[in-house]
Amino acid sequence: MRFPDAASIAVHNIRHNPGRTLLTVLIVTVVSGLVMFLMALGLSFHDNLTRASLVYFNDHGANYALRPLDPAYGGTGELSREEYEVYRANAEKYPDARGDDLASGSIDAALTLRSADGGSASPAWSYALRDLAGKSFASVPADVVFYEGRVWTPADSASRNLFLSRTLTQYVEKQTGHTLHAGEEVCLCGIGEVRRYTVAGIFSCGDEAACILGIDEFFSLAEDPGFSIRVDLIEMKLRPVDAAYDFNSLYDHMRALTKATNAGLTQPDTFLEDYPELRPFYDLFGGSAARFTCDFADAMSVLNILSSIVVAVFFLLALAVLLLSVSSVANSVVISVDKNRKFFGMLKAVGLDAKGTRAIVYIELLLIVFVGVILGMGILFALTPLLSAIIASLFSYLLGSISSFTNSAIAYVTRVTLPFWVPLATIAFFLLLTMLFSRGSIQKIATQDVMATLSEVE
Amino acid sequence: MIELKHVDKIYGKGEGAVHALKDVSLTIRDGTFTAILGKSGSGKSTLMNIIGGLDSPTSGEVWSAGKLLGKLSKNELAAYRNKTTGFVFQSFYLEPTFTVLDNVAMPLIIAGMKRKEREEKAADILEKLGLGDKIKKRAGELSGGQKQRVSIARALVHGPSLILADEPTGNLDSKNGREVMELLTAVAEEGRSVVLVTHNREDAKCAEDVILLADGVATTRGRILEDEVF
Ligand SMILES: Nc1ncnc2c1ncn2[C@@H]1O[C@H](COP(=O)(O)OP(=O)(O)O)[C@@H](O)[C@H]1O
Ligand SMILES: [Mg+2]
Repeated sequence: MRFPDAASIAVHNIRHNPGRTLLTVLIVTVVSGLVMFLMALGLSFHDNLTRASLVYFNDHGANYALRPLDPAYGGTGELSREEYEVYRANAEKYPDARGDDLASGSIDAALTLRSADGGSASPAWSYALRDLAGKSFASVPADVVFYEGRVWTPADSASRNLFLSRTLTQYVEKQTGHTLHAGEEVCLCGIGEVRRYTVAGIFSCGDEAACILGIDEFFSLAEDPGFSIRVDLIEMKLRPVDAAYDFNSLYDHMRALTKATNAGLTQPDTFLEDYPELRPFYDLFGGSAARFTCDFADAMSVLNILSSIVVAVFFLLALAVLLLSVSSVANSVVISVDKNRKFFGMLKAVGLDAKGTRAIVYIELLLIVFVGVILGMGILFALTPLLSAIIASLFSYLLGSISSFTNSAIAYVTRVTLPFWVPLATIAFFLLLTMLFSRGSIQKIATQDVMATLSEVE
Repeated sequence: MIELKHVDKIYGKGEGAVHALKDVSLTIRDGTFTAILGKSGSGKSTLMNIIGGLDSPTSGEVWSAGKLLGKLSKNELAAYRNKTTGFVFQSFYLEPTFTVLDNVAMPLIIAGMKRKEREEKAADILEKLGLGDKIKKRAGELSGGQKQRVSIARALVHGPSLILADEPTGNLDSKNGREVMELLTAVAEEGRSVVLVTHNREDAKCAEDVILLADGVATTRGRILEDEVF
């Protein structure tokens, strides 16, 4: 039998039994709506957890690559998994590359430009500065020149590496009440790095302020084996230099400590005894706040595992709902076959074989499940506000305990995810399971004698 | 040629078991009109269903077109019904919501024939049976006599060598019944084997060979003569 003929016979069978069909479609609709809701919940949780963690790292200054994603810097405000992977891949391929460049699609071009103009050529910066160029500037030092939307600095300038930050000004203000101004020094202790900046200029951009920072000193902890000690030691903090501590003194101590660690003179758990002069810094940076003790990649994988578990739980829930409903859908298919018993008997009498019988029944099933799931998508879309609300409140609860999100200038906005494969997978699962459940009865009618089909009690 | 060897059919088990056919051995010659004659409940339908591959015997062998039906797989048996046999039922078994054309074309649809070709064939045969103007009608809208002619068309459309008709006149008035019998006689004259199941002695007179069935026991005899009393 040809497919269109089998399909039109299947449609005929469905129409023969409108009440039952409607009921079955309704079950599929409600259940698939619920199943897709649960899947969307799991996936959204995963997606938001990943994005929130990236925002967290971004905010901590450990990953400048994420800055171009901030709409304030000309980015889209979204970081997809793919973009993140690009960043990771670039980071491995170009160990010397830093910051925004890693997120660039054409990292070679970005690196060439940077070495040519002194470190300010990242595309993201260019976009940000192009946007800012038309705005009002509180002050701009003479050695910073805007040209064709890009920052140019003399190669011999003390502010060789320029870094544009909006979050920094806001963060400092929030943490200390101090408003940054041009010429001031700022220290940024990140995970794996310590920098001292000079504020080159402050721009007002509407209500918000952004500053250009020249990096005067850069000390990368990641480059030496003492790294783990210092990650333990220093919780990421951002302070005006003169507000809390002496950057130069910290910097010297760090150097000494690194050397000592490299020479095997001290251990992570004994360095405070060996170097008691580090105690004030330890208390300042590591004493109070919750500490961040693993590096970026580790943290990501932990979060990935965590959210994968959550996704798995929601998917299992979805599967359970599916399994519960499948028996009733399968049942109703079997009943529908039974109602059309005489018709099947006639078809078999004129030569319909087992394969043809199964084809007709399974096409019936496919149509019912397909229509049901499509309608279920309607339910899902109707429930989207609820989904957003759940995700939003879940994350405001989860992130509420993390100071970065409560204190930080970066607001985290949750988002709902529903990939196209979710309805497809739902259809596939529904089909597979109902086929499995109704297989016995369908096989029976497909293979029994014609007379048995015709004479069996309805 | 169709040959049955020691065929038994028992419905059910134990106390309620019905022995519908008892050690039936018989031969149906190719190209002849054969009638299976017997009272209601004598096992006629059972016998015919077994010959047509609609049912299987409890024991014994059924040979048709050189094949032992009991040895065929389910699919081969379906192909046998689809290619070699044509059925006419007392209660028609037409699908009332399908058009006359689709009902007649059903064996060809199942065989996977293209729409144009099968519709031509079905229309041809309907034309021959005088139903050319009913092609587009739904089968449910026809009268009993028309329905039976449609089901004969369906039994002929794929050119089978064996036509099996189970009480085809049972639900018809005498005029329509006579027409159907004439049709079947004409089919037999084309050289096909026609097996007619009937409890009506008059109808059986059309047949060259007659199988008498009583309580599941079969005896074969020749044509029933016009004025014969038995
Ligand atoms: N599916 C069945 N289950 C049980 N008994 C049956 C079945 N079909 C027929 N019979 C019995 O077998 C006997 C022969 O039936 P059948 O072949 O239909 O006779 P006929 O066609 O001559 O009226 C009857 O006693 C009938 O009740
Ligand atoms: Mg009968």
